[in-house]
Amino acid sequence: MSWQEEQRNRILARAAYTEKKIRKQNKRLVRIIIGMVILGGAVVLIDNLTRDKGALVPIDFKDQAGTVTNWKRIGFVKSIDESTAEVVVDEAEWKEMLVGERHAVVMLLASYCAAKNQKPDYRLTIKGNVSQKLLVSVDDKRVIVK
Amino acid sequence: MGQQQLLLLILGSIVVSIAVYTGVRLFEVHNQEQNRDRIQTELTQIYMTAAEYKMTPTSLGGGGGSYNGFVLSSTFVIEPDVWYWVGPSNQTLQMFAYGTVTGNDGINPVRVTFVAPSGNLQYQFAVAN
Repeated sequence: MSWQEEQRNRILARAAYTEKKIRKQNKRLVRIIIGMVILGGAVVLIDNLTRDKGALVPIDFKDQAGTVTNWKRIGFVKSIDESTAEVVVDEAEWKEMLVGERHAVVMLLASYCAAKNQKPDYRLTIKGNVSQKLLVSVDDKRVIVK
Repeated sequence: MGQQQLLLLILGSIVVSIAVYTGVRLFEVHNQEQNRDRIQTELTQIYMTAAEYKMTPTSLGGGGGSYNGFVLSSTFVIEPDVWYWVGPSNQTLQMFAYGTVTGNDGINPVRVTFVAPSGNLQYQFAVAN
């Protein structure tokens, strides 16, 4: 074998080795990026699953009558008796609500019924439409929100 | 373009998209938290005013043990996003406030409810959006 051939073979072997090395590096890079995609996807998924739903019903204290009418229209308020301040609401939606939102609903309904009766009497009872269970009770002594 | 390069390009785009989404989401959450904190500070200040009014004797222009007659001070009257309600026997105070940043539902602004039950000076905040 001539010197030139030997040199050529050496160069080819070196090229094959480098190519193999690069391929190996690329494979590792692809694996790392796939891992990042899986991890990122999992983060996005978990974030979406654990995210609070937020407000379920619209609340506008400036237009209380309009808000109550809207609640009736969307089916959240099933029935309301302003004179006795007895309200029946969608129980499933009530259970899904955040505690803060429940308090806000109570405030608005109590205020709305008081305005309708034209007296500062904030008695209010809210019941669930399915079980008829008492969900809210506002009387002379205390406010109970379940 | 080789198959591997194409794969790298697609995967890279996905990683960048996820990174952008996470960044935007973090910014959003931080903004919401900051807005809720501001509301809570304001509501606490209002509550302090209300509690002071409640504890002041009627002869000195206070409520004499009741929130009855409490009016929001002029500092907060110009704040259009706070609603308060004096509950049964004028012993409980509840407040509701809207923020300026879009809340968790992605439509309405952040909302915070404040509840001060009767009998003590304890109070609690509850996130409503």
